[in-house]
Amino acid sequence: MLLATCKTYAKKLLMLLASLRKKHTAKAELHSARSIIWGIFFFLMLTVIFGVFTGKWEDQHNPEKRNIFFRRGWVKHVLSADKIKRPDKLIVIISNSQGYGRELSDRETYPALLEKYLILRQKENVRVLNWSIPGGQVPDFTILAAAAKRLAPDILIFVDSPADFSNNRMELDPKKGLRKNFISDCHFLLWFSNIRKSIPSAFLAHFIRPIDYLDIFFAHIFAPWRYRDIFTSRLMQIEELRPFDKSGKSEKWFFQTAVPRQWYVDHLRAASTKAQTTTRPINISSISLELLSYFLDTTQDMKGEKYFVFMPLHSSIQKKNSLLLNEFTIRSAAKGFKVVDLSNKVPDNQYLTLTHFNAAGHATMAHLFVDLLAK
Amino acid sequence: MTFASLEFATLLFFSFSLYYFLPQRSRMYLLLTVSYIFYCYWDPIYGLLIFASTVLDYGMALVISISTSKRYQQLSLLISVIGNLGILSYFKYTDFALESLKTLLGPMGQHLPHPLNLILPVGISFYTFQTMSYTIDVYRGVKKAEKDFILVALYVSFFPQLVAGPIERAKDLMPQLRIKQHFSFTDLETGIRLICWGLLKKIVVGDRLTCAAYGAYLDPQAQNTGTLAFAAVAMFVVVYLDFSAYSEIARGTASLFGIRLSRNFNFPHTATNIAEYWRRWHITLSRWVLDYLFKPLGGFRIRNPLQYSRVILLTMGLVGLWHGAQWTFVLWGLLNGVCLFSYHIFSLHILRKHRKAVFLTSNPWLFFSWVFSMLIRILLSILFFSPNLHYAIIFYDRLCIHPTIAGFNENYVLIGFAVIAFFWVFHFLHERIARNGGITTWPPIIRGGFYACLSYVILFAAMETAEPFIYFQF
Repeated sequence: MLLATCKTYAKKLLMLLASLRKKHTAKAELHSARSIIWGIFFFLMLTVIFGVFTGKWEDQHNPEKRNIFFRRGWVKHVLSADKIKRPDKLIVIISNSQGYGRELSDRETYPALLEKYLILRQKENVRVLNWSIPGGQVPDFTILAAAAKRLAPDILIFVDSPADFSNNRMELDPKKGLRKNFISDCHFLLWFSNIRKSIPSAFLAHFIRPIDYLDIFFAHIFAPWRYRDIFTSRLMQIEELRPFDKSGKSEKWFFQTAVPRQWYVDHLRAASTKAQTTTRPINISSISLELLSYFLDTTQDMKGEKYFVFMPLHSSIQKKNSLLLNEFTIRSAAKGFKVVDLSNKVPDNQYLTLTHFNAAGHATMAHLFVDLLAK
Repeated sequence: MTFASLEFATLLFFSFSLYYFLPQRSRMYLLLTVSYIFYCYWDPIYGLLIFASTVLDYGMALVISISTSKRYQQLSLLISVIGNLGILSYFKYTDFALESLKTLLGPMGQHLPHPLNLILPVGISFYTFQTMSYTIDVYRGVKKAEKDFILVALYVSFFPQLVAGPIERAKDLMPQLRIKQHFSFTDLETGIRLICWGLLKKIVVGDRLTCAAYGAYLDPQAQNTGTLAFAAVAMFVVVYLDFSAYSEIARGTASLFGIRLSRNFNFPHTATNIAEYWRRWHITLSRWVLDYLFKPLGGFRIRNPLQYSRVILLTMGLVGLWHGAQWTFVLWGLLNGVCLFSYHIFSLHILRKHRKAVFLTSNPWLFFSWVFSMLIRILLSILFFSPNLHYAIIFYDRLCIHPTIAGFNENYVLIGFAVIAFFWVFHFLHERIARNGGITTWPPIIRGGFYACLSYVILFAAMETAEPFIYFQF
């Protein structure tokens, strides 16, 4: 039956080609055919040129610094860590924009300072990898944790707020793309089986749609697809292109995700009882312990020390919920994490925004970590 | 499923790969299946609505054609119109009516039921109008009733133009869907070109302008005049970029299957007066309204200015209401009606009387008319984007009544205006090029290079997250 179907299709293909040959007598048709062939040729040529340049460009990834491509290029950034000669102590810090510290130079961020202080104090060959994603979400961090497992770091430090485990931030409407599950391109790392197999299958079933596998496949075989947003990712860092950002409180950047139109937000809100806008204050009751368990399960076989750090926040937005913190502590401790609450350890005058530090704040944070690791 | 998504690209790739290998009947089944997958991707329930609409119009059109009695024909038409408008009104206008009544009645309105918070099915206004036009055409004798249900279903749900037009007439689309289309490189090239062009307009330029400008509409009180002026002009350009992009992708997608859809835009920003603008903007809706609403109400035959003004205000008010269930849209439509009526009077009493005057055809006059009509349209577009009348009033107040020079020296405002100025220059140049045959006159090697570069620009400069098309909400 299969043979018969193939035969039919082959016959039809031959008939189609024969009809095309006849049609080529028309000048417009011939020109169009040539245009398409030239188009394909130029496209492939551009791909080859881009591929050559990408090789050099990707070398800009310095595993010992933060990812210069912001939310993009995470595959190369993570894989480039393999090149590091194994130090006496390898520390991986997974965090969000606070750890990335885009307002400051790389050397002023707390992961870089931590490395500096530890080398000075302990005279050891220490390397701290800064795997912080601005605007990072728990799904991104879960995949990064799986990638960190490959490296078998001596210490894994995860710095985040429990509020980031809110389902509302993840599931507004992933299908329509208003709020993506993955803010970064970390999901491209799922191409690698040793990363994929560390991640709970429930996580994959929940966050990776079938179409995402196609996205991951394209990203792997076609470099321009992998780096498609890279220019805009770099442009996002230009201060002048951020309207409505005078106070620094809201970040609606010129080159970032558009402000969702009101009708669209209303539509989504009505469409799903679960849906809530990203602009609403985070409701503590919406914290998903399921998300926490995905993250913890990913790292459960990891050797070395593991720290779950509640990130410092400006006093005006700190929300204490002892029940929740207890739950986080119990669950994390059960999976071998040491839970540390630093939420009020950085003074308010060391913040640039409500969540981002100035240089002094980063230094304080680095000192806190040095003390913590010394214990 | 939106056009700027990997899901759509996959669906299109597979359907296009299969299409030309199938016999005609199977092609229709394929397109129908793809159309329903495309539409039900938002919500499977929506598929039932479109199916109900199809069954209703298929049945009523058959009854009209079989019946010899005028009364039965009128009754069938009435059932079709009431059915379609009923579905549209229920989903689109119930909450609007309830809220308006509550506001109007004040304390007395407390006993009225609460708004139902209904979700508006995507593109309902478009396919309702399309399917209604089929029954009306059958009633008028312009089109014979179709016995093939699959063909009617495909006409109503043909996926490229399903959610935001062009609103096609049965006499134009059905014959194309019925006959076997042969593969053509010209159609393929046209399809690729239009899709690429549409994506460039939408996700590279339009969405970026949106995220730079739309925030001002959500909080006009906090913005300075410069930001508001930029937001007003930018969103006016965005609505064109967004909607024309959708239409071009729709035409391009249909072209891949050998089907030609109507043009929806003819360089509207080159129009020098508002009447010309409406002839160039959303052409298929303008024609629909003209044929099924304006002309039956008397249309251009009306000589009495008062009666004419009533008809044009009613028509444009309904056009506004079609766009959205909000008073801002109704007001936007009515004001457009006022402008059209004023232009009609001006044209009747001045332009026609002095049509031989050199001044009226001179470039300075044309430029002045262009600027004047553009300004009016920009000011009207503020109503189009404001979340409600209160916000619109604040916007007008800060922009026109109490303006300041603050904000005009902001970098993003200057960059934004430069982008818009470039767009307008390009728009005029593009019109000239298109008039002379467009890109198809270029040598194949240049065309090929252009397409390759265009795809790379889209790949690298597109927004991370594409915004939904503006006209999806209608």
